[in-house]
Amino acid sequence: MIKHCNGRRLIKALSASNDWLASKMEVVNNLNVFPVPDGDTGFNMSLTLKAAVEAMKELKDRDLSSIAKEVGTSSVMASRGCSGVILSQFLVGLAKGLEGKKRVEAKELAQAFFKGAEAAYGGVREPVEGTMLTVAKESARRALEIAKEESDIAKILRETHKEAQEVLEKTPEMLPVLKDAGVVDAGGAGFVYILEGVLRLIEGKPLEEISKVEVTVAKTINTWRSILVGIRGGELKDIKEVETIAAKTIQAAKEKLSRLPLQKLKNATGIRRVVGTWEKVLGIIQKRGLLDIKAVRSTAQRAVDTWERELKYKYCTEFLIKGKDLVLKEIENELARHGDCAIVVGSSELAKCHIHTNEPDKVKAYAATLGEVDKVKIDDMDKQHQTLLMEKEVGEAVKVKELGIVAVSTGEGLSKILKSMGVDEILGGPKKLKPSVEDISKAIEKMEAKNVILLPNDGDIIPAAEKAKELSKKRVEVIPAKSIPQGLAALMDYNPEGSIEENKESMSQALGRIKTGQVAKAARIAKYKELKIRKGEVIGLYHKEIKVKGRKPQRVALDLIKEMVAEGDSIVTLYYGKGARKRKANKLLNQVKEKYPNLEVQLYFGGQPHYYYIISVE
Amino acid sequence: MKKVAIVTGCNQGLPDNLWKEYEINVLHFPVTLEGKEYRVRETISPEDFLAKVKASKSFPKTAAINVERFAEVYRKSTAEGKSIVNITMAGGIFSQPTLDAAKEAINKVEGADVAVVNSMLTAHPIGLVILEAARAAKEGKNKDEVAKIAQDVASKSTLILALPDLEYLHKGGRIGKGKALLGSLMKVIPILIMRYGTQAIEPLGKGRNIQQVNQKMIETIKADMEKSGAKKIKALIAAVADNPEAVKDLKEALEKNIDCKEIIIGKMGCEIVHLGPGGWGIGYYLVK
Repeated sequence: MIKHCNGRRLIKALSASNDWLASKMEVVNNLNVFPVPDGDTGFNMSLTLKAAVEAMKELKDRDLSSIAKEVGTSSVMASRGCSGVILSQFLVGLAKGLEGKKRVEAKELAQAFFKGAEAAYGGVREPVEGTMLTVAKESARRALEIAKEESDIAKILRETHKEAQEVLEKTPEMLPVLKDAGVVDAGGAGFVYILEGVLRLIEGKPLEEISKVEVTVAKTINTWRSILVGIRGGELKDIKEVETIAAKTIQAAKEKLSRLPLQKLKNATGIRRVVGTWEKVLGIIQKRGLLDIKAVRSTAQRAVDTWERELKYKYCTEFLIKGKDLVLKEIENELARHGDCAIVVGSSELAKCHIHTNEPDKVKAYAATLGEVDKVKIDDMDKQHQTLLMEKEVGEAVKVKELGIVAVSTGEGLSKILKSMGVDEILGGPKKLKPSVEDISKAIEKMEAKNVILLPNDGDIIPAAEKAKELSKKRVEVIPAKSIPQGLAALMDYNPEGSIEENKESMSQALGRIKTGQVAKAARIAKYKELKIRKGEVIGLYHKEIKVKGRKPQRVALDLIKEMVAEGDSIVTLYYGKGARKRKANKLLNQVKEKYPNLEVQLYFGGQPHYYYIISVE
Repeated sequence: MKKVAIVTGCNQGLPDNLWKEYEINVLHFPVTLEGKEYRVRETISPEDFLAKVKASKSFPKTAAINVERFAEVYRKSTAEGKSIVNITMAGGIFSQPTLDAAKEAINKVEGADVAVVNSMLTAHPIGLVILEAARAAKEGKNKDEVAKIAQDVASKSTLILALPDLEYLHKGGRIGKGKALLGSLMKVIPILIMRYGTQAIEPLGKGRNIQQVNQKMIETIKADMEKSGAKKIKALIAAVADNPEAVKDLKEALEKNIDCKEIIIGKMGCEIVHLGPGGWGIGYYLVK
């Protein structure tokens, strides 16, 4: 019998939720409406909760109210994707309900839970029933109801979880798109797992750290990156932790290798190198029996570098030097010896310096010999979109603009096109995750512009963009583009000389002028309306529906275009992705031109993952 | 009462027949390409000149009309017993020397009775200003009345350009580098606008083909009409010699969407230097 909840118990409960949700991440990811391998709801929710739990554990104050508040605040910053944002809003509401309390009994806890559900609704511009919102609301209502009579939190939780599960099963009845796809709502399922984690903790069931077969090497590299940051910050002391992760990385990388088809194996040198370097790390740890931080650091550095070969210098370092008789050119030359993109501007009394380097400390030490060093800013460029940024910085130095644009992209070709259309900063990319509220916020604040326009280019990123807008002191507007072609259509009406208001209006209007379709390979068996789809078949999506299917991407693309083209249209644009070959794409271009002699047809390299083709008709 | 002669540069897009009909004194801007000087629509046809531009690796340049050439026209019209209204393009980055020369030349000709009207515009809309001024002159209005009409039409006029290759405008110094929006990876046609009094060509947007660009031009004109309460417009549309389709499509779109009191299909000559191959545009002014 559990009669109350305090700070300590909340920590345990949320940690259990976090572990259980993490272990079910792939299950939730696979509840994607369309069988396209880009489902990331589980991933987004898990990362959002994980950040909150980590922040909570570091908090010195173990007071219930403070813990809950920290969970809310840090989850908002870390939230990514629609579901992540909704979850963070729920946690904020929960915290409000626990405000000023050291411990709560069943009734108060149920009330706080209900406040969380209400806040979740408040955080969405257009709430949709049949999603996590409904699951949260109905289960909260149930919790309140039972708490009237019952004071055992365990019992209430069991009932609440049961209700959540039942509502989840009904989501397909509430949301036709789920029914058509034969799945329950992914965000709702994530929410059920969050409750289930606490329940399993109470019932003493394992919160298994499943063998993460599905963890890809890229994801593990991300973990490694955070370890590196930990080593640098002097926080990571536990040798066991490094050892475990090294072993896991090797295993995951080997599994990834073993599942690659033969013809691709010869190209997998990157992964092989990762295995090699990590075996070395493991060797060092096992041989010396102690954590040789230096050796681990340099090896880890190399591993990350092999993975991201294009990034030579990791730290974007900026600072001011206040001194006398400063010779800007000389400083620039000296800085250039430590990296690239060295820029020094200012006067003989005040130099603003910028450099991309791997030795920020050395650079700082040199600067200190010249005068007083101020406003030092060192950014890890892994978290930004490095190469694009460099070009930008070289070109524009440190000029503050009136208006800047941050856009989300999923492929290198698309990124280049977006940039050429006036985008200043790109978030995301093929190897990256969906940007979190924090990622977007950072991009906004970093941009040397007073006003910032956000182009999410994905419906699932719009809520995070809206949240980042709320958090910023700058004037920010979100143009709700749901696809890359929509984003590009908006950019057609972007006027860098115009005000942010004028641009918001004209760019938003442009969204409706374009239709977007996608061609992808089905990642699982699926039944969608009358269509039976086998794994590996190619499907064509348009208007939130699977319109066509087939065996060849080009054939499906042609059929899909037929569904999309209507009278008054004049341009068809094809963006071919990673999975499509250039030769095949060119063939498709000619076929479309032949079939629609009155339309203008253009083909571009998009480089996006998952989708053979992104198609727009306007 | 003295008759009024209209004097102007060649960068105004009116077709040959209107030049003749209203006896407009057109002074051709000297244009140089690879060291050779031309006067487009006088010593060379726009088609032939465009072909030379396309074949050349360097960009063509225009030069100002000098004092002596203005003085010559003033002298001729004065001898015929006429007063003169000289309508010029904007000064500043457009052609300050030409504007200065137009004024200075007055002192060189004894008895010359000249009003210089700075249209504050360039290209297409100047054609409309000239046409209305010439019509007033033909009706027998005096110099001051004609100048006032020219000034009035200019103040209600706007230029919109669609330039597939902005490099020409940029190289000609008519737009700043930041504004030039150079080098998009997508095939796009930048659209630019020059409003009366701004003395600058500003970006307006982009389109992916002729239809989209013309649609945006129409939307802009409609918004202007709504803002000012104007019911109709008069327009002059013209393209560089290699893009008659754009003019045809724009004319159709105008007729379909906007109440036009008059649409003149013009002709581009020395404007090619700044518009570049494929460029087209519209000058329009709002009528109550």
